[in-house]
Formats: sequence, C-alpha cells, structure tokens
Amino acid sequence: MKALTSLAALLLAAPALAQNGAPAGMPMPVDAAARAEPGAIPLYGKDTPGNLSTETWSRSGAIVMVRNVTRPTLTPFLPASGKANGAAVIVAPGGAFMGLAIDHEGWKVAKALAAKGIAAFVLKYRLIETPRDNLEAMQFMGRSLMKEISHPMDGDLIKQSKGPEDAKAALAMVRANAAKWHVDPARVGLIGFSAGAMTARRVGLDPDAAARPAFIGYIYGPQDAETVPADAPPLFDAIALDDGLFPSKGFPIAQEWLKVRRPVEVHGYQKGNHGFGLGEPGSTNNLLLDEFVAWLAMNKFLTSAKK
Amino acid sequence: MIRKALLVAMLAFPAPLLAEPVLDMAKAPADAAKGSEFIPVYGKDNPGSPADEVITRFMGRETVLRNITYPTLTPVFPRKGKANGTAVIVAAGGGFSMLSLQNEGWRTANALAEKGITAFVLKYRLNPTPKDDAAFFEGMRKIFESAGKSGGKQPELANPGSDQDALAALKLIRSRATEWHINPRRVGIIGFSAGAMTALRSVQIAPTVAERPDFFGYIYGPMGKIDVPAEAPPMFAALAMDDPLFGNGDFGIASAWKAANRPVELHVYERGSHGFGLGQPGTTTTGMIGQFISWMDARGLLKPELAK
Repeated sequence: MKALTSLAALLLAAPALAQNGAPAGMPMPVDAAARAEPGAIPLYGKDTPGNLSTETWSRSGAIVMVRNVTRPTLTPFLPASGKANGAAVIVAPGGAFMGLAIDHEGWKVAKALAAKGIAAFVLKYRLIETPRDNLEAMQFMGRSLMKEISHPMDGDLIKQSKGPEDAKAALAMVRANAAKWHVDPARVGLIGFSAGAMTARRVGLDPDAAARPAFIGYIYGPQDAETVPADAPPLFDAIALDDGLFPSKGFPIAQEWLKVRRPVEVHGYQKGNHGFGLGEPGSTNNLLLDEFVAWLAMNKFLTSAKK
Repeated sequence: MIRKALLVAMLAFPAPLLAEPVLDMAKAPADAAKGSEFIPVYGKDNPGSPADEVITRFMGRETVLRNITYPTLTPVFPRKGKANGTAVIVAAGGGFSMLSLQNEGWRTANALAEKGITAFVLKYRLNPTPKDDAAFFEGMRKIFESAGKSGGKQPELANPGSDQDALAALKLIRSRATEWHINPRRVGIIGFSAGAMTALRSVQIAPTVAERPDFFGYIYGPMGKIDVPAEAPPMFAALAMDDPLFGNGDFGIASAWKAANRPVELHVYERGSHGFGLGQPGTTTTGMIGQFISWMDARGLLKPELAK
C-alpha cells in the first residue's frame, strides 16, 4: 500500500504502532516548533476561550500537525488587490477532531484559493484533548477513531467536537466583516477535509438555514447517507475510490442530495487514498482545486448577483 | 437498459452551438476528411457499402451519419514527433440509429491527438433507418409517441454489430501497431452513450483478455450494476447528474468495478444532461476530456513508449 502522508496513515497503523512502534517507511510524528499564524483573529473576540500555550505541534514527514487547540482562530488569506471576485471560503482542515493538518489541508488550500480570487479563511477549530506525547497521542487517536469508524457522522468524536460550533462562528464573522474583506455575504462557503468535511456537512445541514454556508466542499468525508432538507446548500463531494479510512460504498450522501433535487457533484478519483490534500503528482486528484473552482463558477458563486 | 438508448436519439443533442469542426461531414461527404483514410475494419470482408450512408443535419445544428453498413476506422494522428504510442478508438453515440460523428467523434479525436494520443474514429454499423430525413424524423416521432402511450415501455434496440466492429477495430490497430508507432498493449476506447455500450460490450464479448480494449472511457452510458468480467480493463466513467436517460444517482457499474477490485474512476457532474460530448459550455462537463486524459496520464499512458 502506498505510504500515506497524513494523520490517517498513522491512525490506520495505530494497532501496529501500539505494539511495535512505527512500521518501516511510515513517518513517525516528531515534535515541531509552533508555527506562527500572522493575521490570526480570535474567533470570539475578547470572549475567545483557551490559550495558545496548550497547543502541541508535531511533524509527520512533511505534514505539520497541531493538537490540543483550545483557542480557536480564523486567519484570512485574501486575494491580491483588485483580484477578488467576492466569494469567500472557510477552510476546515482535518485530523479526526483531535488534530489539524493545518498546512496540508489549511494554509496551502487557502493560498491556492486566494490565488484564484477567492477570499479564504483558515479555521483553527477547538480539538478534543490528546496526550502530549506524540506516540501516546497516535495510539489514543487510533483507538478513538477505530471505535466509530463505521459510523463517523453519528460517533462520539463529532458529538464532542467544538468544530461545528467554531465553523458557525467563523461564518458569522466573515459575513459580519464582509465589507472589510471585500466579500459578498451571500457567497460565503465552507470547504472541509476529512473531519473538516464532516464539520462542513454538519453546519451545512444545520436546522437554522441562515447559519449554513452558501456551498459545501466535502473532501474525503464519509459517504454515509442522512436526510437532507429541501433547501440544503449545493454539495461538491470528492474522494479517492481507494480511500482506506472510508472504504468506498458508493455515494449514498450524494443520492440524498439528489432525492431532494439539490445541486451535487461527485468526483471519485481512482487512487489517492485518504488525506491527499490538494492532490499529488501521478494522480487525478491533483485536479481537485480546479474542479472545485469550476463548480463554484458554474453555480455563479464567483460573480456578483448585482448588475 | 437497451430500450432507454432509443431516447438517446432524441435527447442526445441539446448541445449548444459547436465550435468549427475540423472535419465537416456535411460539406462534402466524399472528401469530408480530405486526406484521411476510412479503413474497412474487416478488410476485404467488410460488409455493406458506403453508398448506404445518409448524412443528416440533426436539429438544424449538428451533422450525424445514418445507415452505416460498411464499418470503418479513421486514424487521427498527433503532430509529428508528439505521439506517445497510446491509441484510443473514439466510439460516438446516437442510439444505434445514427452516429454523432461531429460532436463526439472528430472533436474528441482531435482533443486526444493534441495530447500525443493516436485517435481512431470508428464508424460502427447502425440499425437501418429510412433514407429520407423527413421519414426518419417521422419514424422517431412515432416511436416516442407509442412509447408514451404504452406508459414508457420502449421497443428493444437491436444490436447492429457495433461490438463486433469495435473488436475488429482493436484487432486492426494491433496488427498495424508497428506501422502506426503504437504500443499494442496501450489501445483503448472512449465511448459515448451507445458508443459507451459498444465499448463495454466489446469487453464482455472479446474471446480473450488480450483482444479487449486495454482501458476504456465510459461516457454517459447506462450506470446499472453488472457482473464485472474477470481481469476487466480499467474504466473511466463520467456522466451528468441530470442525465435524463441514465442519471438516477445509481453509479452501480462503478461500484461493481470497485467491488471486483478493478481500477475505476468516476465523475458525475452536477449538470450537463445527456450528450454533452466535450462539454456544454458553462458547466463542469467541459472538464471531462481533461480528466480522462489526466487519468490516462496517471496510468502512465502518456509516457512515450512503443511496444516492448
């Protein structure tokens, strides 16, 4: 099996890690210096809980991971002056609700979106606490995940997670500051990867329609069905068909969208496994961002409704 | 499943105004593809006659061919020095009663040749239709009328032998692989609608694995679950969610390929209806051909490589 570069790889190997340490060729997480996030805005203003000092930063190969986030922030990545098209996307990285692949599924994605004229905002949402030690944390995360991997949308992790609450606050913040950031409050969406996708989906289907994102980018999220309201936001659903964390079972969630005649698009890449971020060389998954942006354009999210 | 293909005839061409075609079959039938060869796929044993063919201007927009009885293959070569040794047969759609040569045939072939792929446009045999256009359209109208009256029950479509023609085309290309600088183990098919069914059937009826296409693009074909042949070739499946014929949220054929552990890729675009060819402008269906080529690339098929 091709070596994964994301947290998922380590989680899938958790039983082996528990017994033998890292398998050969698998990048073990090592301590890393905390990364500064210039421009990070406390998500709840002066009421923002927590502290940066609780954070645990590590690196698995090239993938930077932060755990024990207690102080949620939103970091803008704005298009160059004159290039903005008014669309905004909040980026929710993944990490099983216990970690954040903050560069691989966060900053990198935001920069790529900003380069396309889309204002991007990386959401550093609060995480379920994990042991400080990297190996202990991997084992803890692996165990927690495996307990509910067959029904993640109904599991304890998303239930305990502050991700959805923080994502809703992020949407509210971007909409409240639309003029300042040159975005159209009607064109603010969410793109999430893995647990970030689950977060985007949860907020996207919030009973309070006004709290939902205008559109959902759902990248390697679980494909299990759930009832979808008749006014659900449009869904862009992309995953690799060889995803090891969420083995392919077709696209029941996309079928739910179709049932209520809401816009949905599906991309099932032949290979890429779980956690490929914006894609990798030698795979069709490196077209992900272009496909997402083309879909936004088709749905008129990249142009102003006003004439 | 086959019955639904008849609807293809009426619904296959909602495509907006097309870009200037490279080869316009409407202009001069005899030399429409000036300088191109129309190679009989069965050689001197080729059935039928080109004289049977009828060119019809469909919905005032696009040129289709009817009454093909003499199946042929036309190479569309990449520019000199650009070929990578991979060949793709292009099987256009049209409900087995016409061939969408312009929209899905030549345009696709040119797009592939641009990327160093040697394309071969296949004119496969079709079911007979009245020579006269007016009679043809009247016949179509009657079929849909009776289908409507009988509560959607549509007549079965006869197989005109398009699957045999595809197999013969594969054989022909492989037999001339050296001459055409093609790797005989890198010969695939891209099929649209009835052409997709043709490609799939060629996989199912090939007497040996080696006679099948080495990979295939299955564009807006029926999506129901089927039994996957052992060692089935890799499949790239694409269609639009709002395809009136085959878009019902069931991607069974892709799931079946996956369950059988055969390589598969799936793209289902939000909008594009049926028959979008290289894409309906303003929709994400315009991404299809690039995604197909990217998939070929990921499979190593664009790396220049002749036979080993």
